[in-house]
Amino acid sequence: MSNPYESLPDQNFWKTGVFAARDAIEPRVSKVFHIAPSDRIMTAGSCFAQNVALHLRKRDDISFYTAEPLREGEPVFSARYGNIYTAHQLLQIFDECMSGDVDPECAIRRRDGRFVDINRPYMEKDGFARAQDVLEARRSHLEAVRLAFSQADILIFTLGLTEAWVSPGGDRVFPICPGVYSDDAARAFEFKNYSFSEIRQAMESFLEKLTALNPHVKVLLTVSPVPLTATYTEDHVLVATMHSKSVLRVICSEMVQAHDAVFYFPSYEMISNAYVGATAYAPENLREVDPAAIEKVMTFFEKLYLDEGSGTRGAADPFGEAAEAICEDVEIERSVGF
Amino acid sequence: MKAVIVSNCNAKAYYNYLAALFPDWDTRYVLKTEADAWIASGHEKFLEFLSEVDVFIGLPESHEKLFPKHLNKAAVQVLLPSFIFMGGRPDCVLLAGITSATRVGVIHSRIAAAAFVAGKSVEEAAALYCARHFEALGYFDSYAGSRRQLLDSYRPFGVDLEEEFEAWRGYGDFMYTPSHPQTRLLFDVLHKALAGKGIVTGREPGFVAQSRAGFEDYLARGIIWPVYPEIAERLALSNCKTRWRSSAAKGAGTEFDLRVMLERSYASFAARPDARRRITVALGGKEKLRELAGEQPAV
Repeated sequence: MSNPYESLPDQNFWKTGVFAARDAIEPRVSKVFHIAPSDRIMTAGSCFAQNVALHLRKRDDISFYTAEPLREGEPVFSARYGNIYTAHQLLQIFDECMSGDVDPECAIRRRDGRFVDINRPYMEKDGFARAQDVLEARRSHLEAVRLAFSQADILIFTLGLTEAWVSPGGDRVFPICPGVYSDDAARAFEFKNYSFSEIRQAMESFLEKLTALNPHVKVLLTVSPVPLTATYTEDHVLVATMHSKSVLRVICSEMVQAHDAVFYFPSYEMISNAYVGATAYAPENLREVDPAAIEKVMTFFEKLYLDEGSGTRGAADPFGEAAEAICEDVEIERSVGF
Repeated sequence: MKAVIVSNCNAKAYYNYLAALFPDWDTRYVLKTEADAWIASGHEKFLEFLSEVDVFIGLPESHEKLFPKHLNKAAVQVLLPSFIFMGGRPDCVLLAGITSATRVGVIHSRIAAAAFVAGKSVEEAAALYCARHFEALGYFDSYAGSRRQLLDSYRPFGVDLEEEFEAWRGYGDFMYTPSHPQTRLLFDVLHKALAGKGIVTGREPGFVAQSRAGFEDYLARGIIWPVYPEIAERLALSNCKTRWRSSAAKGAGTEFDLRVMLERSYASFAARPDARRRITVALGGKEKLRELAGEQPAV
């Protein structure tokens, strides 16, 4: 009787995959694809997703999709939607784009009297003078986002939270509790902690609609390693964080298994890895991710996903291509024995 | 026993090793690019052999494609990344799609490429190959980092080459290009990897040493990218190749000097319409390019 573990590679064993490789763990997954220079990449998600966008945008050898010009200091994504923390928020903006009907309740008065979009309250620093201006800005924003959804070759989406604030009854989901920046008494909201099945359903629905619009799109999922700033559940924030991340992480695996066009990049595992002794989180708050750790993640991202033929690996790894190169300068039979 | 090797130019060395130490094995090899094509086309003989092999030796990337779909799940798997050591040759870079001054492959000088983009003449570029510029670029300090990178590249696969590296250091310059070592080094790598799997334990040391001594160094017939004299001197590297050489396996194997290397490189860059973009990307952006071209002090 043979031992089935004997034939497994080193990455399958804790001793070699983690303990021995602790300074350079590269948690490979079996399902990957290559991003070609011509692929249009759209990014969306929680605040951690901005790191991916920031990194990709700097490269002039890939096509980072910019549907709307960003203004200084705004969250960096493919359009000015701000942070999209939940699957329901992603589905909501997609539905709104496709229907062409702007959320009539999107304008909310800030504490300073200016109006902002309740779906992206921090995107217009100075706000608008009139509620009508918010609606008009949202209309053109949605048009740009619709185009991005329809033209992107790759959507990188980072799932951030299970907790959210929603309108009474849950018809609309907000990125941030409106009470944080507005004292508009007419606007009611309630807390919602989405369950696994609700999020899975939202992701399925989003994917079905997205691929109906854009059949060739690939979706690359990640989970934000950034812990919750606060929880509104009755649990300790650490418990709530672990719950949230665990649910989102499993959603990713389920989606990857169920759909050929869905992939997962393990940035979450690289950052939130508690086994290597050194934290990847900023010591001053244990929440923000250390830039060096982000750099490591993105280097690995490039290694896994960027098209080797594009020369994109050259800067970081001048001889990376040698791994696959056929040496033209020595005479070697292409095969022996076959 | 059946063994298969799926790798790059290292494959033949691994094959020769098994042929020498395990002559009764049915050992076969295929270059990874060929294997990819065979997998895509469903090459029956290859896939059948894969399903029966006892030992698989290959690049981690090739393994990912073969396992678990085609490879015998009970096979002992020896994953070995490419042997890449930039230590004495920190100026080398691969520029995809741009023919090398050596006439084959895409290996280039980073300084030459940057000088071309900066609009420098061949004479101006040649003047950059000096100790002061190498110092500014950190070329003299890169040996230790390259050593660490090489050892780290094998460590995740259970192969610790610390001791071997110290022995190799005694050979002086043991590379022909950053990806072509003397093949006796590949002998050592595979020997260590197989020992880790319990496969060569018990082999008579004299026999192993004899096999190693007679090991065919086919990579010596390939192109040569020299260690620049200033670097060789600073690193106290002995046995350095001091001139470039085209492949002796593909022709006369003629040697040439810095000026010829630059002239040929410039001609290659000029012939490629998108060379500037490719070079800029490969060298890490415009700022880095200026540093390499000597247009601003390296920080």
